[in-house]
Amino acid sequence: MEHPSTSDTDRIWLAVCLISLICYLVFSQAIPEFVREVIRLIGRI
Amino acid sequence: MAWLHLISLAAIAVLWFVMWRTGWRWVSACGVEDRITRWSLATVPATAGIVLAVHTPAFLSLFTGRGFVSPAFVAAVFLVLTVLTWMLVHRFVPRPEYAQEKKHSSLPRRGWGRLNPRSTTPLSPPLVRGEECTSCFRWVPVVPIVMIVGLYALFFVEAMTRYPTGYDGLHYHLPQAVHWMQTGSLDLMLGQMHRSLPDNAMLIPMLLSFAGLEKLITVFNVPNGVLLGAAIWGLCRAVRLGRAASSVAACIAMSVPVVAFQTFSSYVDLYATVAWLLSLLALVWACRTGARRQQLGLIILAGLSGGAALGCKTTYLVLVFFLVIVACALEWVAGKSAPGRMRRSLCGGLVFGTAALACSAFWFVRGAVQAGNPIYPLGVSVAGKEILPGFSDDDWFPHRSLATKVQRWWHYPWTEPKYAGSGETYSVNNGLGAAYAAFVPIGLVFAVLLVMKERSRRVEDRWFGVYATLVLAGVALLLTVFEEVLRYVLGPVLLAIPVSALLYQRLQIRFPRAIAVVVNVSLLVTVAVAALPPARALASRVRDGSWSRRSFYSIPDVVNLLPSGTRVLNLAPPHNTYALYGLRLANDVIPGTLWNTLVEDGEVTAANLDAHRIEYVFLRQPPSGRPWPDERWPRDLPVQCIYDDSPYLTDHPIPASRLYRVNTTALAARSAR
Repeated sequence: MEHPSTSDTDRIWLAVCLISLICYLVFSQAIPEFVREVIRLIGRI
Repeated sequence: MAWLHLISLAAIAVLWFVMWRTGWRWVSACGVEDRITRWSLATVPATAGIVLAVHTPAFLSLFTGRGFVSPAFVAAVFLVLTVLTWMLVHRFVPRPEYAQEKKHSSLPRRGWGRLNPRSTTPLSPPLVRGEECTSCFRWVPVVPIVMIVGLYALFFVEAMTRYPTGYDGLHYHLPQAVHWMQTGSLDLMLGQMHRSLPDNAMLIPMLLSFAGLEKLITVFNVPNGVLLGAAIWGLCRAVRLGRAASSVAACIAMSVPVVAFQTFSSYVDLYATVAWLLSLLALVWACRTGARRQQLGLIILAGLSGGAALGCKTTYLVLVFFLVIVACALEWVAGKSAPGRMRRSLCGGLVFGTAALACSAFWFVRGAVQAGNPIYPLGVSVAGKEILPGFSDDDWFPHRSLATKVQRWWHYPWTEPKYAGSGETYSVNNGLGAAYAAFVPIGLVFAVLLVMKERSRRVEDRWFGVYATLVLAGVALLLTVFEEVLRYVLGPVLLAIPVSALLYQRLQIRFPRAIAVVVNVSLLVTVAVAALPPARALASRVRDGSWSRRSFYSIPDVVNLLPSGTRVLNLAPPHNTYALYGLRLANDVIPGTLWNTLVEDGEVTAANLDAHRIEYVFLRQPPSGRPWPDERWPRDLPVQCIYDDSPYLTDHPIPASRLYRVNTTALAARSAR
């Protein structure tokens, strides 16, 4: 599969990946649980 | 006997290595060019050999009613299989070029170099698209690899300082393995779903339990974790993706929390997933090779690996069937000419199916002989009428409409709600990680659009279509018959990573620095969150100095010191069953689920205890202030409480325990009256 390397299209795909990562950081239940746990552990120390 | 078991296990380990070497020659002669792929596919004959070596005495036990399964017997059968395979491979497979080179070489290969024979086939031009981006290699794979190695090293250290974990493993997988070890047979227990499962993944823990090597049982899945990375790499390279993209794909796969946590637990999904992916990998290479003989050699390997997966979990009845279809469709994927295509494809499917049955037929025969249902404990009913006896999935899972399931799952990679298990968000059941969420769903869409747009006729691009179809089939299964259990479709879920690596590779060529930042940040997030539970567990063990089995499982020490064969009734939650087998795995434990089928209403009475020769009864404090089970027992029950830590564990996160000793003399006297 040879790719027509149009930079605009590639930029859009890169931006979508970035947005996908940001969505994960904002919406994943793992992140707030992790932050809460780290704060709790720091508080205990 | 312990020394005999240890010697037999050492012999099995040596034979495994010999078989792996033979497998290497087999795979090399079949034209597999990539070194890591050869390394991973060479493990298939060794794995299949162990499975067959255990199934052989198990067949004898099945038809004679005597216990034949032991490490010595397994080692003897494995020796025969290894010699036979070695002879067959050396008879029919041409001598590898490396041996001839070595013969004429003035520089003999020494040390580890001797263990890495070169390919029998000349190296093809670089299997790479986008490999010209060599400068990216410095930035992208090194940091992810360091992060993954660091994460797995932490998990490994934590695992080596504890004992086996995992709810299902402690509930029934490991107890089943220990029960096989104690009885010397792999017979099923009619009416007991959890003692009747096909379980190829538990054959190694069973062999280790003969010698009481519990620390090795704790990490028995680690080779599967490593093999998973190799399989993902191989699946990328087989469709001519670049080394950098393949490395990152392998790192993303190994960063998936379900994978990382299962690598160090006693769940069996990872074993089956790796076997399934290796089977697919062998099929991809079978499609790429030109000679029919090489193709058949790889289809046999694919079948053996598929059979190992099939004999591991009933869910693989469906997933391995997909691979049979792929094996039949190789001629079409390869775009070969029509004459004889149908005959060759049917032949491929037949060879795959026969090889798959070699590693799984035992479980079907066992079910047919002992339960009248080859796929027992899975029951089959049509229009309310039972066709094959067994258990229905209605007994295990709540039912939801398809619309509700889609609503619950379409956002899963980004939100990761806890739909199964409990505790942490990342676990053996949950979590795909930030790197997966960032690249894989988008990459899947990209690959599907590209395949549809370009309508390429190249074989590699057709394989992208096959991968994507299997992924979509896996998603469909997740939302239908597999009742939303993510780990049941772990293979297809991970197969999405090689598909999405196409997008990664394209972006890497255009924006190497930006994509490196996205990969590293996403992997860092996943690794940090995944590392917290093992780091916290290890730190708390260091702080408390609690390294013993007794403190890890919170059981009384007397359980570890009971004479062999002491019968213990576990009326605590089922995941306590494994711990009650004791340090030497010599106790005979009756789990509560079994007790409930043995006696009416699961009642604890003198007659029931006597009838089933119960010597000890173990209890845990029920949650949320509910009464202890012993409060409902008859007052004149001849038992004595010999351990009770409830006065010391009020408002403690660890539930209190009680252990009762049954007065067997009083029971016998009462029965005599």
